[in-house]
Amino acid sequence: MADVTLQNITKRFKTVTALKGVSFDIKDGEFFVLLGPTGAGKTTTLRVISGLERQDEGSVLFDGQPVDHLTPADRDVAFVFEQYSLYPTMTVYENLAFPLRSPLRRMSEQVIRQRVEETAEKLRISPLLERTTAHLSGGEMQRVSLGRALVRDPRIFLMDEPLSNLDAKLREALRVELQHVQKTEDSTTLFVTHDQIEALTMGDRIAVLNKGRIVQIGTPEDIYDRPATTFVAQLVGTPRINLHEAVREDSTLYVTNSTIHLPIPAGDDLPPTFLLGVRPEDVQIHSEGGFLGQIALIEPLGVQTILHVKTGEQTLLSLVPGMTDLRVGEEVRFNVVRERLHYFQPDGTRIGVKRKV
Amino acid sequence: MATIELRQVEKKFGDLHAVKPMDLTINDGEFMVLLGPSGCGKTTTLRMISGLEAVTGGQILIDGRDVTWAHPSDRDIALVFQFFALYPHLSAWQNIAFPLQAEGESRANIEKRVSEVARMLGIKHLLHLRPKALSGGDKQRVGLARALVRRPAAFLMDEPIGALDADARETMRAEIKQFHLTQNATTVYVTHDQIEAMALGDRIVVMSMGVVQQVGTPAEVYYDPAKLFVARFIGSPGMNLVTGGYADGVVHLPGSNPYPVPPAWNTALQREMGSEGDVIVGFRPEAGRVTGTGPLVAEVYATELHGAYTVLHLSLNGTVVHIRADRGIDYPIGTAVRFDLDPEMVRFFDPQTEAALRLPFDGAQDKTQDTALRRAQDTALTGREH
Repeated sequence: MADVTLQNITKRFKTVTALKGVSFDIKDGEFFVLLGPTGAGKTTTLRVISGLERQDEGSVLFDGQPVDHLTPADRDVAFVFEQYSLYPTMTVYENLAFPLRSPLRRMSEQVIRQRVEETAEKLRISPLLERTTAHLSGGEMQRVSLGRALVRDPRIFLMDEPLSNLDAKLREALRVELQHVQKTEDSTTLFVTHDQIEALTMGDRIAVLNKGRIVQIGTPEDIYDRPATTFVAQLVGTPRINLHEAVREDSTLYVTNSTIHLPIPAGDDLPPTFLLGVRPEDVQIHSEGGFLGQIALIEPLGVQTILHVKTGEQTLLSLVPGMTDLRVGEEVRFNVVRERLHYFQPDGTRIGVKRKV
Repeated sequence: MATIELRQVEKKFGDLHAVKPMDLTINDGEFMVLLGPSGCGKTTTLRMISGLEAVTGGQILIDGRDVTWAHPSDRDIALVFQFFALYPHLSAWQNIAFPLQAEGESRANIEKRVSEVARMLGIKHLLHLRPKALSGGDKQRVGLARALVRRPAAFLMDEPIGALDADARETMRAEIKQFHLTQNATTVYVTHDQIEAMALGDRIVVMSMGVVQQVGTPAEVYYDPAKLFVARFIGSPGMNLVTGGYADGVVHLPGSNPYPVPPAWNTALQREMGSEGDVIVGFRPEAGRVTGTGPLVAEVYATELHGAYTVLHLSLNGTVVHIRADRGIDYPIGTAVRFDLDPEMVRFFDPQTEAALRLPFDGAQDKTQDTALRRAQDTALTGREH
């Protein structure tokens, strides 16, 4: 395994600049997630690292050594794609053994068998080894695809939305398996996804990409608790963060067209107009809450319930545990958790608030 | 508005029994969701209600009238499909007005109704635009408006928001629910997404392989799933289901974990299974609590940050269960964790029949009554009739 560094990567396709000065460092053994919407440049970044795409500017380094001149094969990376590309006539065993049979490796059959069986064990596909892949379910196929990457011990795993094609239940199960295997093996992994839940749940660190630029790099906690821009704030978390225009008058902040007004904590330096972000779990229904609202809609999800709370002309989402006894139309009082408010400039960048954590 | 009744309705495609005989009553004004994985028979059921698919057996009644063999256009229902195909050369207004013009409504009436529905969905300012000038969400709203403008007796919706991205889906979900609250139109809604089903449905029909597994409110299918299938399918992650040997008031779970059965359940277990036998213990992730004195011990398998909370995946000697935990505590893989289960939220299933065991006079039953009561209160408050 290796650590991987991108230095100022720029990539143009004819008139489109797909990547603009992208730099980051994936540490040895790290699970690094590239998160962003379609067209952000995630897959291009992955292809540049693999050597399938050549950057126009900047450099890719493995363990501190530039690999820009190396072919994809010489870079020794392993791919897992959204579409599993298995050989349908071969057994699972043969599919797993295939990458090890490369003439470059000269591995004995005995070593190959041992590696294949170990990998199958890790991914819980040992009972499938003698089946042909045509007889596997979607989830089993994706496990085998992962296995074919894992069996090789490459310098880095490059995974491009490998779970996107699976149904929700399988995705959940494989997410856990993948994380467990990655952590116990300490394999360096770059995982590309547009799904914020995958990014939060699996990543050691996340790089958020938008329109070819890195917007923020941090741990899942950094990204969720201290989003650098409104784009990041809205990208992670479901339901979405409440984001409202607010004004400061003296030492009080007022959310426009609502009943919400708060004293600004001493030391917080806010401009006259800004955006206030409140995560739905930080809008708390309480009989002695400071603000008045009315329940406009209730969406029970089982483990928690989304309440749409109308206050003035604004509607805030509130996330409460379990089911609720509240009813549509009912008046409620609520609070917002003041230690977890997010402030952004009108242009969307986070306002650094001085506060002891 | 309408009541829809299915009596022993079934569908065969050659040898394939797509829908096995099912009985279902959808009340006037009710939002009923048909939920299940692909191939479970939910869409076929919807198509039989609409008349697009002929039944192989049974009867369909709308407001007591037998429409089993009535033409789709004679059933007074509106279908909303996954892809709202809008006419690209017509404006949003013309698209919405189209069904009314086809029915020969007066110009004044059309103006009035298009304007009403557009106001309700917040698209009044977009009415002059053609579809290609609209965002994805606005296209969906125009499509929805076109279905709603007809004021049919019932709406049948087949994964109407399934093709949208996660964000737009959340927004449209709330809009559909809001619309239902104001209109109270009988609605049958097909989806494979359990979150959508929970958020939208007054009741949910959970289907698997052509068979109805359970019909119940979101609270019922979540807290008291009737079958293992429902327990697994509802929830994200689904209910934890762990098999163990029951004897003398204790279930022996994997990893030498004796779990003392809550007293209320012990009688039920003895009655159902005699003094001993295998039983499946079921609990939702939030029923698990990490506590130093808990009776169960497991090893951390993985941890997942879900934003506001953490999900802890624990291995009981290879059987992985998921419980919710507070953020901010580090649980390295391989660490031993002691935990307990909320006795109110533990359920038991028969491994043979895959059915839930029930308590005769228990909390589960009370909850059902609570739910019924709450529904009645809802009705009183919002003026809805079920």
